Amino acid sequence: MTVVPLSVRPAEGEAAMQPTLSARHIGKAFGTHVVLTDVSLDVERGEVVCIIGPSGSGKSTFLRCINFLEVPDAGGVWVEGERIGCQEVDGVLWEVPSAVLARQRAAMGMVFQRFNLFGHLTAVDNVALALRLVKRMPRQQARERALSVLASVGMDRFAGHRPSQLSGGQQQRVAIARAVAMEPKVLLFDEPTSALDPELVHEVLSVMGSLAGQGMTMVVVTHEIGFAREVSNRTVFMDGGSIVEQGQSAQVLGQPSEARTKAFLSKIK
Amino acid sequence: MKNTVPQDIRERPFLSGRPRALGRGKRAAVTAIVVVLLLVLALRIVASGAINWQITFGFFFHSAILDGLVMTLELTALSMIVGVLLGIALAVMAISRYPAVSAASALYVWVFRGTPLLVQLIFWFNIALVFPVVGIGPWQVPINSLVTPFAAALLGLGLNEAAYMAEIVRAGIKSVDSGQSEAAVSVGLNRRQVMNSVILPQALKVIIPPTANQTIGMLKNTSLVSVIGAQELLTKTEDIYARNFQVIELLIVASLWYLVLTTVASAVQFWLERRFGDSRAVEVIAGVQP
Repeated sequence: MTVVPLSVRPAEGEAAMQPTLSARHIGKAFGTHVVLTDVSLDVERGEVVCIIGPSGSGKSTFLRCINFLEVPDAGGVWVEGERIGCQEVDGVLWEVPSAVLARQRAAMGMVFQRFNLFGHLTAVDNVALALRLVKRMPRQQARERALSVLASVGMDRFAGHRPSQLSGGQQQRVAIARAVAMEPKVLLFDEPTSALDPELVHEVLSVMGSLAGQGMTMVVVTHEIGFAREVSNRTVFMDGGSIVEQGQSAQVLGQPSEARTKAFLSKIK
Repeated sequence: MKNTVPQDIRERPFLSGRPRALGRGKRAAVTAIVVVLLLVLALRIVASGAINWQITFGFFFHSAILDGLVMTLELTALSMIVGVLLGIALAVMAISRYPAVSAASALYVWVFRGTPLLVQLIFWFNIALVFPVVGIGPWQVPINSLVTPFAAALLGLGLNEAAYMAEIVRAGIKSVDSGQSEAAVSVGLNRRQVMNSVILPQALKVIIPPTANQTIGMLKNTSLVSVIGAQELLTKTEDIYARNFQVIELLIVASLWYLVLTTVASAVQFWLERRFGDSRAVEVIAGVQP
């Protein structure tokens, strides 16, 4: 593995174009187990990128590195030109203060495989909590905003329900509302339908499809090839901790050029 | 092979009602033996005349006993408050990312759980031998005026309890799925907000039942502070029997009061645990409005 120094920045010309999300040369190892090797991905505003690949290919770790749930060992992440989690002072890279990282994370929504709704709060409070604590909205205003976002995912009727009273699909829609309510610059989805019963997958995918239609910038780690083909602009195939192939979704999924992509697609079809 | 169910099973009453339990005769015999043994024991105690029940009942509502009872309740409540608050602080310290902080917490728990409570109480009572005065600059106070028997009792019980509460709270925090804090930081909550608004409210479900247990234990442990004369129930009881020599009669008075206290506390605990089956209770206690 080539170790890329942490201070790598986007090249001058690219920085000027300023993609919404720019992950450069991300490397990550857990102990001696190398999970990511030099993974780079730029996402333009309004673009929907799907990341597919076999389990253990590093795609979830890559997503978690983007919002610093995992701290990458190499490389860096920029959102609208602002570097996430680190700052350079006199050529030395430092962690940013935790309050700064919290603000940066608030600009990136994350939707988890296992929903991770706050178990002690109702659906509307799940959405309103960060509006109150992070965006400092008054209680009533936060509640109204939360209700309107819940309505946009069709969950306003369940505003008073607790996560334990909701189906997996309903929980995931609330989780999406919780992320969307913060008006993030980019939404990250970590296998959002993998923990769902098959008949509940559709309701979550259709919510994600309509978000994409509204111009939300999204990075989606998924096994849903149909969603990747129909909704995403670009599909990235990862294997063994690096990007094997990427391009227009129709091309990558329809006529893949790499043997490993072909083999993977033939297995999951 | 097929089991065939008789067609008329629904019309027919099931046999002639509920089946009889086996061993009914044995059960009655065992009950009789136990009852007889208890009766004999009770009779021996009462009839021996060694215990003057008049004195026991006469002192039950004695004003000194009732004063001691109030002091026992105060000590229990205050020590538990000290224990819970300090325990939460120690538990949060234990999971700190600064190794020195978590080590300090571990050291505290090691010392206070590893030495007898009785020794700790006597130690606090005699702290003036080590630090005769405390204060900053010109403000110096003799420590004996601060560490009264009550203060020593509170220090001893509260600081000891904190060590146990720290472990209970830590277990509660650990019981909350790590996905909860990941979700909380992903929407931009800071460390303190994650702990106060997401983790601790959900940890309560695990923390409350053993805390109720600790409180019941504390009701009884307060009797230890009689060695430093903290004027709680047992101290008062000892004061009386030192004068009238009715040792057993007065110890029965104290024991009956302890039984009343622990019985009431157990009832409260039962109610708490029932309520905590329902996650709504978490919200009530955490003060989170729907």
